[in-house]
Amino acid sequence: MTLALIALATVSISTEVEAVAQRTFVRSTGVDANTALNCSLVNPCRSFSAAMSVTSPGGEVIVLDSAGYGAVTISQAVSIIAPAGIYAGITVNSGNGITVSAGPADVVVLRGLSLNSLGLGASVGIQFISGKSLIVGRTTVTGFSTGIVQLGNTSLFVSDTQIAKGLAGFASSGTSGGVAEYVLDRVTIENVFDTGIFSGQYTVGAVRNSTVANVGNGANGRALAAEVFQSSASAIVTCDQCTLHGSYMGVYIGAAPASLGAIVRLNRSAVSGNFVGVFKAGLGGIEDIRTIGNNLNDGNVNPSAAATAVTPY
Amino acid sequence: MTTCRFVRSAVALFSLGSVAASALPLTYVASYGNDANSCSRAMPCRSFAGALVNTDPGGLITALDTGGYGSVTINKSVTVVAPPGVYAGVTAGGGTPAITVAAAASDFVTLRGLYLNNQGGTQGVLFTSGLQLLIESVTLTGFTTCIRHVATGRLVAVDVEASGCNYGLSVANGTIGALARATVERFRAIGMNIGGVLAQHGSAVAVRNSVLAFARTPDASVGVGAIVWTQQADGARLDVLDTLAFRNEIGLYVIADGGGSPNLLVNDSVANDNTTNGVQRLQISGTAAVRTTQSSMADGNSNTGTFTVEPLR
Repeated sequence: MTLALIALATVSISTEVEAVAQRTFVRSTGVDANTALNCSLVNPCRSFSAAMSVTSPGGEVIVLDSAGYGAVTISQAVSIIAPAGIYAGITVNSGNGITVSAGPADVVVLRGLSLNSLGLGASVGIQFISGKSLIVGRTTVTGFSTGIVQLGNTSLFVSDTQIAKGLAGFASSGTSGGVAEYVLDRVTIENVFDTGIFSGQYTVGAVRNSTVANVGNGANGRALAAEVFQSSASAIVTCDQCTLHGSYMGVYIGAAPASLGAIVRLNRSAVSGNFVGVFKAGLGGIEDIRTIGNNLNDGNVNPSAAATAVTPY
Repeated sequence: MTTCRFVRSAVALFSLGSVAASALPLTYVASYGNDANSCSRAMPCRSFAGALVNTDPGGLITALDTGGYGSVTINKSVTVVAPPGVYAGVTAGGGTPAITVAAAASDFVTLRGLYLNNQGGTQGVLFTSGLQLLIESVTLTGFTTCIRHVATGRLVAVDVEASGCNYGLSVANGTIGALARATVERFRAIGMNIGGVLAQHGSAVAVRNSVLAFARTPDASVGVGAIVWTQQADGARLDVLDTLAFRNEIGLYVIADGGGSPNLLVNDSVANDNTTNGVQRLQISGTAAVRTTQSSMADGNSNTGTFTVEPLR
């Protein structure tokens, strides 16, 4: 009776006949055969991927207790939520932890997850390939080649998230005709080998209340990099209340001559304790650092490149 | 099950103002509860609406475990809490809000730790009356308006995240001279279809330490990070403090119409990379003012303010 009611209600709002529950559940004691019962609260599934298969578009997958729930590819609007106090892990030896490859109107939300890579073979913690927007909150990403990757002309918001170990923390790039836009708020990236935050071609990003520290191996490494080579592309980052500290290079700005340029705006931020503070690569394109004169730029072994003054508003 | 809860919600609506003779100061809901219970710790109820009628004025409803707890109309002083570790969801459907607060003029209502998701409803939280509504650690997804404040009371929102709504927060009671106040701290309005924060005539709104990003309309109207807008001969005030307005069509917008006198105050904020304007003023009828302490950054917008900005220092 109850199942019939839910099924009827779902059919009336969705064309997805196989995904019939707006809220599904996973638990350490769940079994994936419970997809036949829609991974309900009393009949939860064991993995994110099984629960996802019976969650209606715009629905929610809820974690009931602490366990690992497996890598998952998301191809629809959905929220995966682990409440505070529950460890919801995804551990992989190779491949991505979470791949978001959703439709152009889809909003995907990930909250409270812990992604961990046991080997260097694992590529990306969260790879955002397509969708309208991805929201990531309260998540830790450890040991992946790159923690979070944004590809394509999408919107990404990451908050209250820690990324550590690996080659790069966060990397973004869009495609011709659009832009990849992102906001990182209260994000900590530390102890990565090459680049903390990388803003590549066709990107516009803002980083806020965030710290990037201990990037590099002593001879390389960039806490924040805006770098563009492609013609008609630009790479633009605002860093507001950022700490870029203890790395080989605090800020790297590089733009090839054919590009539209690479611009970093620093506001109320600290670039300190690095081997180089702010570095313009001199690739031949527009490479600009812009401020209203309210940053701390000190304690770097080598001085920073000159900034362009912006009139305060 | 969902359908049954809607029926119970409707029953609760018809009993507005009533409190069960056996009401308790502390009541509980649980996934294994039953609304025929007393809602005590040992005998929890199944829905917020069921618990509300069994809760003393000024009492507290606690969610004991993870579950969906149904739409509710709150008509008295009460606190609804999901502690960390518990997912307490409310899914709105049937063209109604997830939570309506329609309380007496002296009532305090608190909502803490809830997840509100839209599947055919209207607002996430609709505040129509009461002295104060505190919304803390709540996430809202996909509503027409995530939080709508049309009362004459005070709204306080802390650590609230809104995504994919038309408006994140809308404040307007429509009565000339009747003040609707909202104080907002750590509000994230991500990907609104129209606006992150809307302060209409008769409102006084302060937004601090918040992110207003990616508001863009799908049609010819304009998507704004935050807007203060009078349509009657009344004042309105929007203070934007320590806030990021990023990649909206217009970052911060003040419109005077109907002979009104709206004020937009900007302090220690960033309004960068908005696709049309960083800060915009429009005077149709009345006087609109933008006031700043010249401590903010507005850069990388297609246009930013050809109007006079009044210094606040």
